[in-house]
Order: sequence, then structure tokens, then C-alpha cells
Amino acid sequence: MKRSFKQNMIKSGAIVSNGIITNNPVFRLVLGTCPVLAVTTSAVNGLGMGLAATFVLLCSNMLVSALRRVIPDKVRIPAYVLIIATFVTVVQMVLRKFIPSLYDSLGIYLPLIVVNCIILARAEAFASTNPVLDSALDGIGMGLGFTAALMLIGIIREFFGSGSFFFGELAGIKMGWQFSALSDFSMSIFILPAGGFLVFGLLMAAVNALTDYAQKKKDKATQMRKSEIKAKNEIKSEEVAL
Amino acid sequence: MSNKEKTSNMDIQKVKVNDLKMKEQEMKEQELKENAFTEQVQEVKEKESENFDAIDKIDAGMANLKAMAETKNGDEPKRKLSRSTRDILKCIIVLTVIAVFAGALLGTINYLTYVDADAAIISEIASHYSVSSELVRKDESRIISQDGAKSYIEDCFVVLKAVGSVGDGTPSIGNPIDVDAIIYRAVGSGAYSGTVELLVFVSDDVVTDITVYAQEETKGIGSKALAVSHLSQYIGVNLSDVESFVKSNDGTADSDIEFISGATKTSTAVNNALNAVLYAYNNFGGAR
Repeated sequence: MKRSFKQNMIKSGAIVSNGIITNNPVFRLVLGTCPVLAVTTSAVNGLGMGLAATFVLLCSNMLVSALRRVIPDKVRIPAYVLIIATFVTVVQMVLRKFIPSLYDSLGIYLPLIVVNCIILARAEAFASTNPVLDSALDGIGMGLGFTAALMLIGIIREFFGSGSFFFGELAGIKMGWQFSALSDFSMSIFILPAGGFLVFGLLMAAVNALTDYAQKKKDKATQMRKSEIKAKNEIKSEEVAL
Repeated sequence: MSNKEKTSNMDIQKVKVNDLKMKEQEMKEQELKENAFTEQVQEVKEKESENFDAIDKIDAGMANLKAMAETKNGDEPKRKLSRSTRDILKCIIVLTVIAVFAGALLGTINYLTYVDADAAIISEIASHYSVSSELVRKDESRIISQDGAKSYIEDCFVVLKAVGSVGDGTPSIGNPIDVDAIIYRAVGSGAYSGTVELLVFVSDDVVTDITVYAQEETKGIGSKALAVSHLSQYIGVNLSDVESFVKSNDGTADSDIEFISGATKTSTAVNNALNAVLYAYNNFGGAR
């Protein structure tokens, strides 16, 4: 049966928001923790890494989904890795040419996107069983969720660790502010791996608490509705009995 | 409206028409209506026959499919032996096709985004001195490093004086008087992660500028030692007057460098790179 336009919109919205909020790859699925901790010493690095991963996710999800009937089950993992590696190398070459500063600061973690669990996991869990458009939306949602998480961690670590906000250069555009008063009293631990773990853990706790709270509220509302309907039905049956 | 109703209507109308005086006109109208009706009926019949044709076609298709399936089933015993080989072949073909496409795509993109490191440095130097990049040359004779030193000169470029400003017209690398500035790409070891690579600009024995070429130091910690405020300690130093740069907290000599606390390793790497430049500059045979 063909879905109506409205239903389509609702479904695609749900797929995208699923990646950003409900199943955020960093805070809820806890995937790709290694690049998350290594790259987020500044918000610009996080943004760049997130966008690179989003591009790879989108492309690989679409291609894996388009080839899902062609790729034999036995060799699906090598095929996925081949596809992902191709797009990662494309991103690497383009960054080296056009944004060398970001290319330098991402270092080893850029080529490591190939084995990023998020991308392989989405190829395996979603793209290999869903149509192309849905897979593309899933890639966008998951990628944006990853980017948002990286940026959030990056902003906090950069602010406390080096006393600046979104300071750096991306694609030749200089942005952000360096607070000279703050940078003299910066807490270097936030830039170091220990601070990364600290911020990551606290943020994960906060995000989980928030989503759990929202879920509980939702459950309560549905329960209330159910009990109301029950009460109404009881009244009706009493009326009938009378 | 069914056929019978229509005819009964017609009958009634005919009676009415007999009663009325405008017989013929009515009759003509009726005839037109009748014609239209018969046409409609024909159309419906045609559509029906079309539908029947379509159903026939579907039936034929199903029969074909069944026949195909049957022949396949019939063929199976013959191919059973090669089934696993066929699977493996399919895997190999799919992977090969993907790999070939990936290779072609990467080749094209690599061609489009090729970065020539030397050309990039030369254009950077040219824009630094605002001269044409033709005057910037690579000079391998000035790449001199201590044997076994971990900090060394990776590359050396010279900026020649403009054509016409020197005695015999065309300037050359070989003639020291023609050289306006020397730029060293120095690699300093002992950094926090890997090495620090600096571009050191020297003209008339004096360090005029230092820029960071490549580094992987921690942002906010090691990067402090790569800031202009730290590197400026080396700028303005006459290289022929200095034996070597040393760490010193309260020195006043040109060779005394104040390291940054918390960034000792990066400061060391920067100092090593500058000492490598010093060695290369002072050990270049002949006139400078």
C-alpha cells in the first residue's frame, strides 16, 4: 500500500529525530567513543569531524541500501568496508586540499572513520534492510546526532580547557572568540583525555536523565488516557445496565 | 439506467409525442438520444473486451512463469554440483566490481585534489615577501644537518633578488650576493606528539620571521609554545653571533630563550628546530 504524503513526512521526521535524540549514537548508543574523546578538544574540530562522518554516513548508507539485493550475504562486511573506505578517502583528499588546517588537527582520526562503529552499525542494522530514501534520512539523522554530540563536548572542553568559544578556522572562515582573561586560568585537564572522559560521562548522564524523564512523562500521559477511556467505558456499561 | 427502463421511458414518450403536435421533432431528438445510448453501450462492451484481453494476457504470463519455474526446477539436478562455486564467483564478481568503481572514483578525485607540497611552500614564501614565485628556488646545497641529529633541516628555499637589480642581469642561487632571503623548513624533535615543523625566514643573517608548518601539539597547552609571543624571542637574532639557543629563565643574551611552563616539550622542540637552522646556516660553506 502506498503511504500518503503526510504519513511519509511523519515517518521521515521520525527517522531523522531518532538519530539525533532518541538513539543519539554518542550518548544513547555509545558508539565511536574513541574519536569522540580524541577529537573534541575544540568545538571546531568536533564540527569538522562530525560533518565528515555525516557525509560518509549519508553516502555509504545510500550505496549500501541501493546494493542491498546485489551484495551476497557472505561478503557483505568486506563490501561495506570497501564502500565506506572509498568515501572516507574522498573526504580525506578533499579536506587535505581545501581545509588543510582541519586535516592536520583531525590527524589519524579522519582515516579511522572507516572503522567507526556508527557507520558500520548503520550500514548493517538499517541500510541493508531499508529503501534508499529511508537509509539516506537515517544517515543524515545519525550524522547530525554525532555532530551535535561532538560539538557539545567540544564546546565544554574548549571553554574550560583553553578559555575560548568555537575558536578556530573552518574552510578559511575564522570564527569564535578567545577570552584572554579566561585562557590564563584555563583548566588544562579538560583538554587532556581525563577531562574528555569526565565531560563525556557527565553529559551522558544528563542526556540519559532528560530522555528518561521525557519517556516517563510520555508513559504517564498514555496511561492516563488509557484509564480515562476505561472509566468512560465503565460508565457507559453502567448506563447500559441501568 | 437499464435497458428495459429506457425502452419503457421511450414508449411513454412516444405516446406523449402522439398526443402533441410536434411529432417529428421529438422523434428526431429521440433518435439522437437512442444513437448516443447505443454508442455508450458499445463503448462499455469494448472496455469489457479489453479487460478480458488483459486478463488473458495475465493468465498467459502466469503460465509462462510457471513454465519457467518448472524448467528451472528441472535444471537444478544438473547444476547442483556447481552451486557453491557459483556463490563464490558471485561474491568475487560483486567485490571486484565495487573495488574497480572505488578505484576509478578515488583516482579521479586524487587527480583533482593533488597537492604539490613544494609548490605550496614556494607560493607561501612568495606571498610572504610579495615577490613572484619564479624568484623562489629550492636550494638543496643549504640543507646541512649534524650527523645523526634528530632535529634537522627538511627543506631549504632561497629568494633571489629581482632581475636587473644585480650586476650581470639574471640572479642565480650559486651567487650569494644574489640571494635576498633563505627559508628553512626545520624539523624539531622532542615535541609532545611527533615533531614540530617550522618555516624560519632568514635574511642578512637575521631571523625575520617564524611560522608553524606542521604540528600535532595539544591545543591550549603545547600550542602556547607555538604562539607568536613565544616564537618572537627568536626573531631579530643575528645567527652569526649565536653559538646555540639555550633554555634560560633570566638570561638577557640573544641565545637565552625562556621556555613556557607546562609546554616544556613543545618549547624544546621549537628550540631544537631553531638550533638545526643555526647549524645549517653557520656551516654553509663559502660566503652567505
